[in-house]
Amino acid sequence: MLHHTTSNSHTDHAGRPQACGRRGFGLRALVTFWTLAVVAGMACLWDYESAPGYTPPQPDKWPTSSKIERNPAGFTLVMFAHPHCPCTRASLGELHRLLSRTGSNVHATVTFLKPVGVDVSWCMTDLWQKAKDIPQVRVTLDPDAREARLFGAGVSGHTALFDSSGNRVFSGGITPSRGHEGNNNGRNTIERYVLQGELLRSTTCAYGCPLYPVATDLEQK
Amino acid sequence: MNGRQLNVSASDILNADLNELRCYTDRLFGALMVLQWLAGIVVVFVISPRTWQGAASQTHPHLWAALLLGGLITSLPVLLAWFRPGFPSTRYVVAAAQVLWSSLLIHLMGGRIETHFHIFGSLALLAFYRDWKVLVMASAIVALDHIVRGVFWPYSVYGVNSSQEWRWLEHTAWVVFEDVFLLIGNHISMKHLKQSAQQKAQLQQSRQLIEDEVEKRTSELQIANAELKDHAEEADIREREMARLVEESAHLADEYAAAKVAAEAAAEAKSQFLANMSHEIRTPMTAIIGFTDVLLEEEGLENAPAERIASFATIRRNAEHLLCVINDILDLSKIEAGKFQIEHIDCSPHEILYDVKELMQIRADSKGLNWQVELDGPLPETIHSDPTRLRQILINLAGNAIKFTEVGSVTLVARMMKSELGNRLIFDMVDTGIGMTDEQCQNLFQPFQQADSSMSRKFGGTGLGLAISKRFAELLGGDINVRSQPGQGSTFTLVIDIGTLQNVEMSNQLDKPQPKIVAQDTKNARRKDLENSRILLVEDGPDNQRLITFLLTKAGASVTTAENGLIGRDLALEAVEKGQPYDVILMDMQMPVMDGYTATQALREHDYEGPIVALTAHALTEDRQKCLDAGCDEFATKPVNRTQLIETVRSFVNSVECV
Repeated sequence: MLHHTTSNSHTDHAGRPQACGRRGFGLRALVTFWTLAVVAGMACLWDYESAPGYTPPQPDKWPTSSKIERNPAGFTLVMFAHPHCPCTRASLGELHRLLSRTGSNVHATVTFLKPVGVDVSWCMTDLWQKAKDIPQVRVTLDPDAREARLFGAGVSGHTALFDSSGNRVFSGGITPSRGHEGNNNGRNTIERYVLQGELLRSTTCAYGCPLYPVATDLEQK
Repeated sequence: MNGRQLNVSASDILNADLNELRCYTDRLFGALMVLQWLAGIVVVFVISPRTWQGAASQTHPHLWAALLLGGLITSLPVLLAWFRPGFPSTRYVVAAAQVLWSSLLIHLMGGRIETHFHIFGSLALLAFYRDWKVLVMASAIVALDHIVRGVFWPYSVYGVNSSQEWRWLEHTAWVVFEDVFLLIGNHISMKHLKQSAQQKAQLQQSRQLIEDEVEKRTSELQIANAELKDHAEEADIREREMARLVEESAHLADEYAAAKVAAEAAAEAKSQFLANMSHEIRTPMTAIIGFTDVLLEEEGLENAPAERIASFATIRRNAEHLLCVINDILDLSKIEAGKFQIEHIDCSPHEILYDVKELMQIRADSKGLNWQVELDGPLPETIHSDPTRLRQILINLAGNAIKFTEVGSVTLVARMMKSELGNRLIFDMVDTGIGMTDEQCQNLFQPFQQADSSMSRKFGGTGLGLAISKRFAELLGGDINVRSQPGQGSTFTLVIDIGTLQNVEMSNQLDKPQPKIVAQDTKNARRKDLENSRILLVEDGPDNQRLITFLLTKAGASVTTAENGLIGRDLALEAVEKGQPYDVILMDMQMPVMDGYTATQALREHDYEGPIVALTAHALTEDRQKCLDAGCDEFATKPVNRTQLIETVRSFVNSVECV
């Protein structure tokens, strides 16, 4: 047992420390301030975590100019990812969980952003490898976010599901918040629709790093 | 210490132990908080260092959150743990911060389920505080976190846009599940801590008792040491006082020894003076008495005028009185000097009484008194005492009684008394004289004291007789007392110790003693006694030389004289060599050139075997013994008693003839 002294402090008859007087008031004030600051900080963090990314208008049909391969015999799932977005790790995790439940009914593609002027190796991150490790997933590059723009994906982790006819069934994020794994509406919707044909909702919020500047997108539009 | 005090002490110990434990835990969490903060920063830096927008990037908000929010959460508990360990507020802040850190880490780690274990580990660590309120507070914050986020950000927690009200309970229940076990463990741990505190209190009580006892003993020891020191100082003072007294005693002893030496020297000088004086007085007295006897025995004296005869008798009587005074003074001096020795020999009380009776008869008759000696019952025929001193006492008492009795009688009554203290002879000298008052009786036995001064003028006497007699009686193991009535007479009672009486016959007949010397009071017989005998007289005094020569020659002896011991020794040895030794040598013991002691020893050393009779004016027993030790065969005192002298010489002459 270590022996520490409580110097410069008041103690009761049994040696228990006691706060008193101005020191007690100062302590209470300090604790109060600290509590408020921490609560505020945590609130900011939670707010940031729960703040969805930019979501441009969604196409109802599979874009014809898209170079991504579509499955005409079943469902086609496309996820847009930024190779360095830390939040996308949670999206890939949820995708892996989703596909493990839906089986071969879904033809999935994860396309990673390749900005202009960067080498391909810039895209070969752990997220790339993580995506490749998911069975039945094809991993491709999306130079200058061309595909993302076609599909209306603004942030990394945005996921879209199309049926065999090329109709958009679902579009949005499959994580409950920014970079946060867990039960969420997006994954549940896809899973329910693929397995049971029941569509709970068609869109959810997506959380992740922007794939391209929002201003640029607006200018193009 | 009673039971209540023991419980209070145990409670204090428990609180102290808990405080120590909580201080330790506070500091543990303080360190953990810092480590968590640093770890959080590192993890975020690795996982999500930057946020991206296309190819552009910036610092990820998670990194700022880890750095700033994490720092904020860490700051207060670390400060409190460092500066205020052990305070309840500190551990409550620590608990809150630790739960908030769990929440932050879960967020920073992307809500990974594995990160949720942080909250369970934290609760286990918080259980170190042994304070259920800490666990409750931490769990409450967890619940509050989920409630608040369920209200404001339900999708981020539960993955749905609107959570059910019970969902926070689901999450909190797992925390409570762990809390249950932690609280049970906490309860058991507290129980052990209380038991330990109780044991420590008992141990402390025992130690306190021992320390109190030790302190008490130490205090007693200190007091004892102080007392010992005081005693030592007192002893030192006493020792110095004792040393001073010893020094004074030594000084006094020296003074006493010197005084004693001086006193002994003075006593010796006195004794020597008395001896010399005795010798110097006795020697002329010998001549006076001796020649007076010669004159009184001259043929034809009866035809001389009566006045002349009376003058000779007066000379003779006064010379004897003077001799008695000298003898008394000498005796008293010896007694008071402690040098007087008495004999303890067998003697007959009947003979002594007869002698006294005969001796005092003439004086009693001369005053017309009835003088009687009576026996009250039988007396032992032999007693163990000093006959000379007993006789002297009785003669003195009888002489006084006759002196102070004008009319009536003087009676000496002797009786024997047996008691547990021994056998005693009691002599009552009863007279019908003038008697004395009690006051006169009190001073009667003091030296030089008489009943009063008028007695001395009327009756004469030195006042030494009764004093000497009382001293003699005491030396004989008894005493002298007196009962007297003025005008009715006095009774002097003498008591002496006579020793044991085994096989001693008793007799009530007053016998006439067997004469040791057969008086042959015929001048012719005396003349024949020493016929043809040769006697060497060694005497320095011409008068005594002439007197003794006259007496011996008159008894028929041939006398050769020598002036000192040296001449006497030579003459005696020369006579032996010639084959004509002297029949008897009369040796004066105090002479110039060579005294009688030395001459006698010299003769004995030359194997002279003839009889040597000492002549000395020293009349005491020790003087007699001293002469015998020197080699003398017999002892004759001065003044010379003619009859005794001739008979003594004759006894040796006859023995020589017989041989």
